[in-house]
Amino acid sequence: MKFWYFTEQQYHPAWDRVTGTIRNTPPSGLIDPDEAADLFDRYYEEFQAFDELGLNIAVNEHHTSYQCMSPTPYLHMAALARITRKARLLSIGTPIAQRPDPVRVAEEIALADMMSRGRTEAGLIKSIPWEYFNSNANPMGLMDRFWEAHDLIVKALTTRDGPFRWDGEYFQYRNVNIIPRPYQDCPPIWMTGQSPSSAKDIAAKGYIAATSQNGTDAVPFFDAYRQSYAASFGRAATDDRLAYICYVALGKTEEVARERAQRVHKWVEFLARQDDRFQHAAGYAPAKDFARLLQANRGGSLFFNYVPPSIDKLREQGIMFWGTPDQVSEQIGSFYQRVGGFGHLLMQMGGVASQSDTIESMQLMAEIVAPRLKEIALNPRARTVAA
Amino acid sequence: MLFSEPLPCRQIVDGAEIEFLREGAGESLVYLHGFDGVSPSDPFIAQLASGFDLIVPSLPGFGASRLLPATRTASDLAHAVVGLIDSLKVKDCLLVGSSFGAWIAAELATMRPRFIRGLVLADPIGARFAKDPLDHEILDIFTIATADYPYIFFADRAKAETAFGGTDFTSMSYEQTVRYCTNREGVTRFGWSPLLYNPSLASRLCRIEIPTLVLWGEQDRVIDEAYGRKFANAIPGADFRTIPDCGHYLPIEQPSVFASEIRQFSERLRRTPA
Repeated sequence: MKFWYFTEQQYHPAWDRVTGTIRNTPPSGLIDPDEAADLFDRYYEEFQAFDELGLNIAVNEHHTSYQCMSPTPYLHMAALARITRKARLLSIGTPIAQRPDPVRVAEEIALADMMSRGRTEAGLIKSIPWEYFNSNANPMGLMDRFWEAHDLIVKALTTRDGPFRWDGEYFQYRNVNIIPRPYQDCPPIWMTGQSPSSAKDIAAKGYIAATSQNGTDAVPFFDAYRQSYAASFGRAATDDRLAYICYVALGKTEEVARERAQRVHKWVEFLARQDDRFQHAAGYAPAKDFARLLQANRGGSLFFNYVPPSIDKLREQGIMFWGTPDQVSEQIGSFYQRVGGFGHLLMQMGGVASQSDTIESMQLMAEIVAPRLKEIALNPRARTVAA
Repeated sequence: MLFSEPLPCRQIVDGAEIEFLREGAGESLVYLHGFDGVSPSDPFIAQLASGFDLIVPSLPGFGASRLLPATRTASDLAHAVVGLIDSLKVKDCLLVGSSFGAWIAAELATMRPRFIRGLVLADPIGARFAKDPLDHEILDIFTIATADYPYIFFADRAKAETAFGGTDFTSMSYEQTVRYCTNREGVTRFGWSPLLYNPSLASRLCRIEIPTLVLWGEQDRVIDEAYGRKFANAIPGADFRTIPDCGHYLPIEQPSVFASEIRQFSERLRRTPA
């Protein structure tokens, strides 16, 4: 199993300054520039420490949100390329149905890959409804645009005898020829999803599929991936095709870990602070699915009436792994068996966890938990037991 | 809830199935619906069907009307309406639109079609007259919470409640809810960005040579009356009339006033030699 430290580089000081929602509407004036710059200093010190510890690093992209101070992940990837030595670097990811210029996305990926001497991994994602209000990209037809953008990005990353011309349904270019090319033949591609139907599409391409903080709902997602992968490639998908994104908090004692988990959990408490007006963009989900949510009186939203579960509940659900290294090894090991295995663990912290919370948690992960789980293999009877 | 029942007839237009309603007898009148689509029981239907051969389609991408992949803009929708009118062999008609449908009707009229005798636009959107990018003429209907949404279209809150069934989807059938959601998809497809306008339309309105009446709900909260007057002024010879006690959805809020205005307009056209 590969271990990735994942942070959204949150600007948590704003959470208590906003009235209501943390996304879309609170003004940028809530940022104290020195405080934000200090946070980046801190985040980059952490990245360097984790590189030394042998962990990999994942960053992401959000806009107009105090959830995440990374509107442009490849700027971070470029900086990380120069200050880390061993870590693989993942952007998870770029919302390519919202970007007007997929060739520019390919150029960013290739540049980061060259600057990192082939340590770049590229997430291409669908993103979430409220981002369509920020990018202004039309949520209607987003999957058609997504796959055309994907085809173009992959062609741009892998073509060596260009330029080529692209006359697509949504994108047109007369001269595509990205320089520099990526260092790798093509950086590994990741996609994210929560539903079995997304898993099927990702598997058909053979890409790494990541699913996020959904506990045992990861089971149908991973199962759909494995089935579709086997049907497409005539062989079983290996663990390295599947990734799980979770929260973590570790301590030498359970008490310390509990306090840290509670500080990470501060983010879970703010997660659902979502303005009703930006809950749903028609087209993000098909009308027949949106109608079901409306009929269930859920306002058509992921976060409608969301009550954040406690850290104990999240631990039980396999959404947050927290405790001593022994406890966390056991939790991840048993989750691995319950979901039928996966090859990448993306460990999200953030919230109001301090630098020492973060570094000590990752130290315990890297030095004690990771070596125990590195060679984990599926107990063939585990799924039968779980079922 | 209004808007939520399918229309009874089907016609294949350029390979895509369009649902429509045809009722009444007399001069043909093609009506194009607003943001939320149209149903047979919407109150203005019966009013207009008494005295006209009323033809009401769901625009492609709305209701049960299918969409060709190449139909991407309001102007493409106008071409689809031309296709429908052709396929129904209507040679001479009044073209009437409300809100979003008035946008499509205006687009169509700028193409100088021969089969339209008169044009009635109720609270049209679709043109942009402001030059400053920070000036907003048309309300962003996409950032209104579902519970507040009905009230932006009506002067009378009770009428908004009735029209949208209090947005209580739990008491609606699944099919009705899907139709509501499909109509939201339709308006999103064509109106998300630019936000409910075609940047080229304002400068093309001068091409409209059909007698035109622009009607305006005095309490329209989606767009203000000054915009309506600019719209009418941009169309050569167009009349502009305001309707009291009425918001953006004139045909639904004041169906008999709406029908009566159209009847009088049609009467005036009949008396005026072409």
